[in-house]
Amino acid sequence: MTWEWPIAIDLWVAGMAGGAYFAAFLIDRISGRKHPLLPKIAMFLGVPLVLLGSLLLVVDLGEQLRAWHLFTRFRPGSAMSMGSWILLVYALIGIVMIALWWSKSFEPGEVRLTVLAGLASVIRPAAPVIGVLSWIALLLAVLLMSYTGVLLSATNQPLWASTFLLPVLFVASAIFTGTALLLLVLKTGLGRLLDILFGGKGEPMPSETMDAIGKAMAIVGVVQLVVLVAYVGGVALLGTPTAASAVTTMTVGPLSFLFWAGVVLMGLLIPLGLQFASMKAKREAIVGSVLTSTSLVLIGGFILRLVVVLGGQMI
Amino acid sequence: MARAMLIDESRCMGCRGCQVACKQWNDNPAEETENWGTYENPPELSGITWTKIKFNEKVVGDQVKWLFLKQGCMHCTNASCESVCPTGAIRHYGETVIVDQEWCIGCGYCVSACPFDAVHSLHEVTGGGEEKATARKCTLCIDRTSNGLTPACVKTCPATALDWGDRGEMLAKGNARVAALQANGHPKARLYGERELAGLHRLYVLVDEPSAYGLPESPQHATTNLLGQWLGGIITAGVLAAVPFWLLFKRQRAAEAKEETSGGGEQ
Amino acid sequence: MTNQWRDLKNADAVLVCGANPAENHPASMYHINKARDERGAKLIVVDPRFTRTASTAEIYAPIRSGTDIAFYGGLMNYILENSLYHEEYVVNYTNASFMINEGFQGPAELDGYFSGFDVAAQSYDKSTWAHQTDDEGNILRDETLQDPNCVFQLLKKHYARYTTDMVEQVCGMPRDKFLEVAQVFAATGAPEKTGTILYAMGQTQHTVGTQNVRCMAMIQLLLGNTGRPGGGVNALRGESNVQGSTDMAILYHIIPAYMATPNAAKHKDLAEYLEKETPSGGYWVNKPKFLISLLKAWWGENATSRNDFCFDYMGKISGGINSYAWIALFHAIYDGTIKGLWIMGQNPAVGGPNARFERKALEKLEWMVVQEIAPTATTDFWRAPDVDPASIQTEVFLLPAADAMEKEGTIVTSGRLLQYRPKVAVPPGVAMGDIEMMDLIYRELRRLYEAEGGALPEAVLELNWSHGADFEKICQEINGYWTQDVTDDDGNVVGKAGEMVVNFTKLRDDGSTACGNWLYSGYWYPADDGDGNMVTASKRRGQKDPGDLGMYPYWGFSWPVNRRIIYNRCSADSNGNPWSEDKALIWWDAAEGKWTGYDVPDFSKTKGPGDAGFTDAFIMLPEGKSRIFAVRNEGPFPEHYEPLESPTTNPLSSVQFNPVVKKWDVDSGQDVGDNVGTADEFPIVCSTYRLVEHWQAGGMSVWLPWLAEAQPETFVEMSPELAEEKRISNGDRVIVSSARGEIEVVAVVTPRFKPFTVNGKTVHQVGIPWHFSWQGLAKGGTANFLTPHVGDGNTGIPEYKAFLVDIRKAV
Repeated sequence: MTWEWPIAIDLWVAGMAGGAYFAAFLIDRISGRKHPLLPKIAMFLGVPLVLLGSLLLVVDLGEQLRAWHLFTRFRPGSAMSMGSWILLVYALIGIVMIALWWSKSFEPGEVRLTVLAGLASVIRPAAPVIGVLSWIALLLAVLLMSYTGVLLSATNQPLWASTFLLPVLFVASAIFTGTALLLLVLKTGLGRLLDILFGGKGEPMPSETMDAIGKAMAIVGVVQLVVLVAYVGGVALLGTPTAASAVTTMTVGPLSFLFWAGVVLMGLLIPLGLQFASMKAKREAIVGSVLTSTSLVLIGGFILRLVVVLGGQMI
Repeated sequence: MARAMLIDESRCMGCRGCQVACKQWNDNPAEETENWGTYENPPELSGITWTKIKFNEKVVGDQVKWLFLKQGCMHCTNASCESVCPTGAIRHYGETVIVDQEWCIGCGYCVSACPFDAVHSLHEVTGGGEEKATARKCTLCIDRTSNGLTPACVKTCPATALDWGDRGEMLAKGNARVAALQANGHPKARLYGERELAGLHRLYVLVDEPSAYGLPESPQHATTNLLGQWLGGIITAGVLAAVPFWLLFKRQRAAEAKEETSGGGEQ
Repeated sequence: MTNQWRDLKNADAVLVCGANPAENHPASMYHINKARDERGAKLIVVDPRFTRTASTAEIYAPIRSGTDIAFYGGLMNYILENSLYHEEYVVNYTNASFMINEGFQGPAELDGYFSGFDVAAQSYDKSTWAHQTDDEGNILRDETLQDPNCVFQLLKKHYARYTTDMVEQVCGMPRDKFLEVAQVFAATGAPEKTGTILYAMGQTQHTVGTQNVRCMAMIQLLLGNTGRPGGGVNALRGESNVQGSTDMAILYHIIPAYMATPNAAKHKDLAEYLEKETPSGGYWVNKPKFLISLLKAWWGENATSRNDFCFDYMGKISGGINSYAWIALFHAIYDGTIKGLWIMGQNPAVGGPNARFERKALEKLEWMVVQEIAPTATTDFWRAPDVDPASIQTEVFLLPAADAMEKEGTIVTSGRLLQYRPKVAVPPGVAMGDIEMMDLIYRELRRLYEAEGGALPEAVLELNWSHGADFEKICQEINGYWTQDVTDDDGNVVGKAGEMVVNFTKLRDDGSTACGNWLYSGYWYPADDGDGNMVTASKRRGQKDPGDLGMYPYWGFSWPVNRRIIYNRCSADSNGNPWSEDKALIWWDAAEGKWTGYDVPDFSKTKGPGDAGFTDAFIMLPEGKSRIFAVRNEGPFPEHYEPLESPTTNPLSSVQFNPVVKKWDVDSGQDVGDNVGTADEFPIVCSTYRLVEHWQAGGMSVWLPWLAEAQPETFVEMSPELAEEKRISNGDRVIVSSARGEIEVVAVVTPRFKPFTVNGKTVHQVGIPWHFSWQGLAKGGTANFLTPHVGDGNTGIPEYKAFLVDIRKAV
């Protein structure tokens, strides 16, 4: 098989990075800049994820040392070319934004670690561009999520290319996993640590907000479930006989356990069940339940990518 | 003037001279195979098997048909591999689609994009296993054709099934052959490749439906729906921005704003 | 081949029976396709399985292995019943009008036998098969073909039993398929049409192989297709140069160019040989010239009229097929009569029938020499997987040989075309060409005979070895040369000592010429290449084709005397005019008073209408007419008998099996022996065949990675019906067993095989390619472990093509 787990991981982490920033940015902006920490968390986790994904892409190349060839051409018709550029630019912008956020955490004239402070003071004048960059990053995050689906769709493998629903599915899953990642971080206290790093006081996020994020995640999850059904059914019914048999490899063939147990049950039904259960209980979600459901969402997201990537090449 | 290979499958007898001639001219090593219940081997095209005969058996009433298909790169005018190649390593040289072996990074995207499964970047390693390398496929023997020779497979075909020349001429020959076949008990005879993907440079005279040979009835260019696919992703993001995020957090913001204006505090 | 590969394009119908040209002679399809494209010819394939050739054919008719005579008999019956034969041809060029002894009776009257069968001797007293003659010995004829004792009426009576129903019942060939084939091919009986029959080992490797070939010859005579463009009986030879090896006498019963091997009982000296072997009429009256020239080539100056030209130095046989043909030889090795074996490029451990028996025979040899290009199951028989080398006493010598491309030479195609080819690569290591090898061996033999004497050392010491290993000189010797200056009666020099003769018409019986193979004479002589250049005939590459019939007379040299279609007198009618304009090959030019055309006439060049024997078109036969009625060991007309191992009883008579064939019976009942199976135990008919990807017993192909990749191992092909019955799935490993042994192979389940309905019951047939053994990159069970030790009644060729097996899933 030409593409195996490294590609699946890339599609997973890249989507998750984009989804996390997408959700974080929206929550912060829509709620009236109430949660500036969220985009920071998303970027702080997203950049390493994107770099990891990119690294895996390079490792997966037949000729790794020629990876730079990718950046000698800009080919809008090639999702691989677009994806490479998006990953690169997203990572670069993310790094700049993190640096600028960090530089703002120093009080002007403050004498802490002189060298770092000095560095910060050099950068700090550029801090106002964060506003523009954050919008560009949103655009890139959307493209990043879309790329993971378009890459597979713009091929001739029946499972990937038979309908336009694969980018829809992968974007939904990206946002689902991205939101889950945010929630996981907030619930574990890692969020507070990050807050301190960026000059905050490390106060916990209000529980209503966290519940709202959980609710948002659940709704995205439901959407993803609907899209998944539509996707599988669509390929089976609308596609060619080969497409139908591609679906079969996924649903009853060698990948069926991963699909049903990993993608459907573990990645969607259980976390959604936990989420709706706690929502119905009308009280703050139990930490354990949230940690479980978000972790499952993340793992389910990976298995989805893996099943689709492998299944597409089995016919 | 574009040239093309004409493959008359009504004349092919599955001798596989082309398969071996291709390996010989291109110095491609043999694969380790075992009989898997058919004459056909290797089972698939690969980075070291650029053309092979696919053996299709079909029973119609009490008649058996053994339909041979010479598989390999079609050198499409609208070549999916060329479109999806991120580095531009794959491109047309005249009618021939070539993978630049010095520039290809071996990402494998063309492998997934090809409608005919004709390009491969996984290669068998001596002693077992596979390794990923540059994408490889039929070159239409451009090293021969640019020196006035015919491709190695055409040269070796003893059955007059393979021909090479000006594409217009090959189309005329192919259509004439199809007409003759249709008049002689092969109503399903057709020419494949004239218009598919804006014209293939391997043209097939078939005596049965393409699917009987394992050919796609209407091959699709991999990036035909590219814009729609991007939009599908972007619109999904837009919709999800509205529901749940706008819906949930707008309300939160509105509620908080209301609390602030009414003087209500947290304490 | 009576015709040429390139002549296939002139056919109006191509009947492929017992051959698979797409698989084993792929290049022939070029010419066959030309006939289809340009003449609308139909390709007919008659075969037990749907072959690669069948896949491209217009008509495919299935036939159970070993029932060809029933099919051909049905075809002849169809031709005769519907009066589709070419009457003018049949009356003038064949022996149809000849009167046969009134005592002659056939299987119709004698339940499967012809008159004169001696049960104890397992042979015929053939006296009742003789012609009726007048007092001067001239054969009586009835040109109206009405006399009940003329060949034509006897033929009609003989094949009247071969009805369409009978064909269906015996062969399992559906009647509509049979009628389709018969209709298309019999249409070539029209004077302006011709059809060709292509056959190979599927016809010859039977206990009735000779009679199978006879059938084809008879059909082509009835339809007037022999000796004409697009016609003929064409053997697709199984090796690129097997025609050459036959011409050069790699058979026990002939010496070069088809003269009988001297027989100790029959030929006590040269005079007796010439007297008994030279017929009274026909071109063979020249045999003394050919034989004496051959002896002069071999023993040179030492061969003189005083010592019978060293006739006694030739080895003499004292038996027939049951002493010297393949199976007999291996029995002689097996029983210890033969102690040493010299093998040149053969692989009996894979290619021999009942190969386990033959491998065991090799173990009994004291010594074995093999000239080979690659390790084979024969070169290394002593270390086969089931053999303990310590138990083998045979001393084995391997002489590494050069491949065909690594030595200079000529090869002869199926169409008798000799083509020179140069050495294009150097043999690896110490490998060397056969000529060099034989030269070294000769010199050592000579040294030993000189030093030690022994039985008849003169035969070796007096050999004319002046050519040494010089290729050019050997070719000149084969071509023939003058051994002394010769002048005609007027004193004109006709030949100078040492110069080559132009062709065999110059050969003489007084020792003044030498010639290694009279049929090849002229092949090394300079000839016009069509552009005025004089080039060694077999090196010519002239591409002119006068008449556009594909004769290409300036390309190479086809024996005899560059004749492309033999018996071509028949291409003109009884008045010497072409049967049709588009197939005019040679004709009588009344103005010039000679035969002319696009080929070398196979006839006296100046014999014209009104001359005696003007329609005696077959000049090699004393009677000048081709033989529809021809004496062979099992009868003058082919009669259907079942193979040694048959799934059914013979529906045509109570004679189940060719009555003149010897059944070997050594060690029967043992694990390895001449065992014969029955249909109860082994109900499935099996045949063996070759694949395009491999070559014969594999020495040349199983070590080539590209070919091993394409066909990696032995398999057995079977119908889905049989597979279901045996609970076998496609790709399963299965055991195929016969009374001789069993092999494990891969099952290829395919609708290309279909069960037959024979005598009202279902008979399954399977097939196995026979190239493989434990040696090579491509390997697997050896099909010949299964084949029986039984041969044809006239030639002894083994019955590889029809025997019984059973199949079970391997566990």
